[in-house]
Amino acid sequence: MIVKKTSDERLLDAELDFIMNAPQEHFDAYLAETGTDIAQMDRKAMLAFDGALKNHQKTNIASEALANLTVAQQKAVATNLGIRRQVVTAFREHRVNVSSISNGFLRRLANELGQTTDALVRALLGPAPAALMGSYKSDEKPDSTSMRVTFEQLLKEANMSEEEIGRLLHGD
Amino acid sequence: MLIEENDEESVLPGDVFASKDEIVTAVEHICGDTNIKRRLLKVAEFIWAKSKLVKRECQPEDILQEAIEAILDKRRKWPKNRVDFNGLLIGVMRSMVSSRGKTLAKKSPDITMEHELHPLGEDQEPLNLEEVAADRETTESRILRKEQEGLEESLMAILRAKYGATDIHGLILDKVRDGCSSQAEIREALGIADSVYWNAWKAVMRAADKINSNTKE
Repeated sequence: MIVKKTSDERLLDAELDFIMNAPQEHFDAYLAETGTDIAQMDRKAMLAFDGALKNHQKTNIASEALANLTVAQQKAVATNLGIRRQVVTAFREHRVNVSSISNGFLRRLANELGQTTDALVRALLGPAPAALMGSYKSDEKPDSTSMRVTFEQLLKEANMSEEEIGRLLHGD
Repeated sequence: MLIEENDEESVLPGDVFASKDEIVTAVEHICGDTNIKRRLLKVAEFIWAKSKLVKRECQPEDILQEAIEAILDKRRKWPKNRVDFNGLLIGVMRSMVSSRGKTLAKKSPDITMEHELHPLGEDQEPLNLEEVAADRETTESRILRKEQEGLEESLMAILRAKYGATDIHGLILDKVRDGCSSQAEIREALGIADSVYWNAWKAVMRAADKINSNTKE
């Protein structure tokens, strides 16, 4: 479906086109005329790119820490967190809707893996490592947001008791 | 600040997605290009300024960083047959600000003043029940509409009001209002010399910058 843009949206399109494609001398002059602190601008841009690359590394490490858990480690994590092992498997395959997981549980899982909560959240939001998805057909990989299940649903499917589910959903 | 987004809708049949290595290479390439980084940060400023709610929560550089991360982490796919990396980054920033603005609008307190529930007409008579009941607008859509109306007023309308009917700056904005959205389209429609065109755009951009900074929370 083609949605007609508002004049405001077209104005933004044109503004962004100017910023990205105006001849260099005109873009530089525009920055100078608006009193832009170029050194500060360059510092902010550099920090944004460096920060993204650093966070991406941490995300990869968190994703690998989860994916590379041995069977014995998965059992230990499940025991320590008070969940069934199939729940750990769902986390390893990034099949859980992240916004449905309590901060407390995310923090405890991150601790178990020796990762930061932020890195774990970013990892879980992305697709699972391809090696874990080998048994799925290419168009059925459970890495799309629409195919994920809520944490509550996952716990119910694992036949956990109402009391256990309540504690995991709402506990610190 | 991270929210789950489903970008499956933006996937088209035949799309060819960039590999992890291609994405990292593209990011590293931009890292070494100060000029492109400046332009992308300026883009982030303009996109960020479009949502008052997002402006309260973060800075333009945060939006830029999160968009890069979303692509690196493959939370957002790069269909390299359709869009270059810069175009993708801009699209992701726009989508993130739009989604986050909607999420923040939902979290805003649902306060309705009594006079809004029972507006009085010129005769100081309450509106009849049928009229009140016919208002099917939800709180969320009302907030979004009001924000959008506010932005329309503060951008296109205010910007256009700054210039006379025949000023080149005003004519540029008229072309945007008439449907043009790229520099090439606007230039072609106006048919004016390069230097005049770019100088006029610089002035429009300066004015837009000023409006954006004046509406900071």
